[in-house]
Amino acid sequence: MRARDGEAGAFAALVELLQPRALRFAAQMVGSGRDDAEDIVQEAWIRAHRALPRYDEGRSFESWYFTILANCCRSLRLRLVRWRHRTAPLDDQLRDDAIDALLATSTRDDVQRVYRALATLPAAQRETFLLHYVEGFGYDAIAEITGVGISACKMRAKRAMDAVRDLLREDPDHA
Amino acid sequence: MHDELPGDDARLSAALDAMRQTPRTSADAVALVAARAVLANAPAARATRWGYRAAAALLLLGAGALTVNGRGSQSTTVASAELSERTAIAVAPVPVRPVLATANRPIVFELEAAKARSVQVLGDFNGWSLDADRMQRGADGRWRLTTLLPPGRYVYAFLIDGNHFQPDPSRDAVEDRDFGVTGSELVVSEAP
Repeated sequence: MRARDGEAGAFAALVELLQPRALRFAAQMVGSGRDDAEDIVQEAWIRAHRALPRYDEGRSFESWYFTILANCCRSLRLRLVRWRHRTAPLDDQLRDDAIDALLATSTRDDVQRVYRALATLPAAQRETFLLHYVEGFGYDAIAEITGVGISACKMRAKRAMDAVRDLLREDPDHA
Repeated sequence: MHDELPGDDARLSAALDAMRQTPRTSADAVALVAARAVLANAPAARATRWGYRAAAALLLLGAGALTVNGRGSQSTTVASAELSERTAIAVAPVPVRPVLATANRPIVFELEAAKARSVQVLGDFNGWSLDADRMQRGADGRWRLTTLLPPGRYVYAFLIDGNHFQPDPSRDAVEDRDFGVTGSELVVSEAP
């Protein structure tokens, strides 16, 4: 791996590849705004760069980085008392106007509802939901990232999805 | 990879599809994130030797080589401003044993790097640009670039194969008090 061998350009390429998804994931995990998300993602990159010599090429770099990122999110979340008092929905700054323009208004509203529903879930369920349904990781990768068994990951994802569905059905705006 | 959702969850499925859309990220923002990560882990000597701008310039090379959907976003503006600020700080006066050159007379940068595939000279005079001032390899294996510079004090370094910075071994090193950078310095005087 070129980045592990000290090629800074290769490391920048990895950042370019994963940064948008990392920001999106971190923002939803800590739920406290773009600044915190950027700080977490930056911290995760610093840790990843430091740990590059220990990176196992047999493992997906993507899931390896998300393992570090998820740990950073957990650490920060513990420090963020305000998380419990969070009422704001999705941090709009993370949204892309060009993408939004392509979405139907009803879909944009539904996205907000999903984010509101996610904010009510236990952190472990929200984490699994985001990793699986949004970031596209398989359960084997999520098991590596979260450090729990595959069965537990599947259970968390199912419970999270069930809860999101229930919350959406209860949402008066969700026909 | 994503589980199929039942048909009656079409709206949820559409919402998840929308959530998976990836916002674009500017090349400058990527380079800054990478540069910060590299410098945060650099041994103190290395971190202070090259400072922020050099690492950012190096990393911009990697980001610039990618297909990046830059959109002139706010993050791009912030990144550029930060780079400019750092650069402005870095060229503050330092104790010098400068190499003197004269404006309107060609200045030859030269480096022996027989095994190099490419060598560039980056410095204050070209904004540490990764696109300018590529050196040419001569038959003797030495890399050279001849250029004219306006009067001024410049700090510069060579970038070998796009991933290795090196000060000019033929010239006295100078230490930048702002970053503790050990680089090479060139002072171009007014033409007589």
